[in-house]
Amino acid sequence: MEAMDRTLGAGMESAAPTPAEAKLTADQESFSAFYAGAREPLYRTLLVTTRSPELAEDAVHEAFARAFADWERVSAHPNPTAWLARVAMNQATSWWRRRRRECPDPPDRPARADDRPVDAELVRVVWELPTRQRQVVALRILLDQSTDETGRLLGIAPGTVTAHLHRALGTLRSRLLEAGIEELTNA
Amino acid sequence: MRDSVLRHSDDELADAIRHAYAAYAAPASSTLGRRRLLRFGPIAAAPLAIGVVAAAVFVAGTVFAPPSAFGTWTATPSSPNPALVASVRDGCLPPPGPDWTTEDRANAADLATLPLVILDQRGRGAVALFAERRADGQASLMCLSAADDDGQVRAGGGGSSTGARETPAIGPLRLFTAQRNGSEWGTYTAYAGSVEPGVTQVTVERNSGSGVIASVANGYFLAWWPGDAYATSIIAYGAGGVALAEIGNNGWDFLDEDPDPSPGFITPEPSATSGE
Repeated sequence: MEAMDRTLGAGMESAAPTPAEAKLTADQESFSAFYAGAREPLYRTLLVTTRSPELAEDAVHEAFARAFADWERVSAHPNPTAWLARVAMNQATSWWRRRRRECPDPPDRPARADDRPVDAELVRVVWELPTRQRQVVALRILLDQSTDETGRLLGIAPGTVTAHLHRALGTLRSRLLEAGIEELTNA
Repeated sequence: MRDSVLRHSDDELADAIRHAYAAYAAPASSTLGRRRLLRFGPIAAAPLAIGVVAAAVFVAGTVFAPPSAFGTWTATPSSPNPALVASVRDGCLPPPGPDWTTEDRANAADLATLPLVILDQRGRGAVALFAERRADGQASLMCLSAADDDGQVRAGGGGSSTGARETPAIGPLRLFTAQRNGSEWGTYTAYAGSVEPGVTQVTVERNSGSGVIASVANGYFLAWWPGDAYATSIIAYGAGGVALAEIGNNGWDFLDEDPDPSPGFITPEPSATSGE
């Protein structure tokens, strides 16, 4: 039996993949690399925009599922991350899902070795920004999208994106000062 | 020292936000993924849980999706499809699910009482607006629906609000909702508001460069289109095609919860309202 297994194994190793198999493998590797890099930033973006861990998780999952189903086209997109963000945000805003209530408070923040005193307050202040400002902060900062791309994703002019970001950062500064937080980086 | 936060640059503040949120990681194995993985059987390798979900989406999209509600869209509305008028309410209000809270059920029951004021038909697809002015503001429910070749109505996503803010009245024109909603046919954008008697037509100019004629009925207007173009101007006309009022989107974001005071409002010219 062992000999048969070895023979079968050896035979499989020596068989050259068909072009279709090779392409499938390449697509899977390409998708896996993209998934590994984009999943966490996208989840955080959806977490901030939806204020719901459950909605964010579902939307990100669905978006990646759609990307996988049409990976040949999505991978050729000039900005696959933006494509994914658009799909995820559309998912999250559908009527069927939006009836679930947003969480008024951010979920408990897991402790990390490099935590700073300002972290928890920053999370809370961003969480409490108006919807549009949160969307802009999430797309511009957490997902690192350009002003133009953020405008396209949200359907607003680039100048409006800049105005929202400016107001959001102004609010953050004010709120941090009100909370007695004067430094961003000290441990 | 107290101003040290103020001295931090935008880039430093952005870095601090990234650092603060870096603690939140996407769940390693989501409930959705586990549930579908069990349903469709085990498959090896990490990203394949995604693949299983993808297969489910693909099958649903190719076998069960009706003809697109978008492909036949027109910039001018047509007469409402009677089949949609008759059944759109049931299609737009989802049946209660097992995970619905008492509050969910109460909200749905409340929305179910709103009267249908407009069905804005554009080709195969139509957006229904259920609306009512209440003491605490404007309540509305909007959803996209389409009838397939067998006359079966499918609802494709929308949104609702109660106690909604409205723009100030610009002459006889108010805007109370601007939505971009996902649907099984893709994203659509819709604007709705109220008009006073005397308004015979409302047009919406878009950043894409082309205009859309809104449906006007029962004291409301509604216009929608596939995609995510946004309105740059909404104009109300009266008898004889006289422009009565315009809400311009001069850098103001219709979707903003807390817009800066009215940079986009354009009051009508006196000659437009007086007819001089």
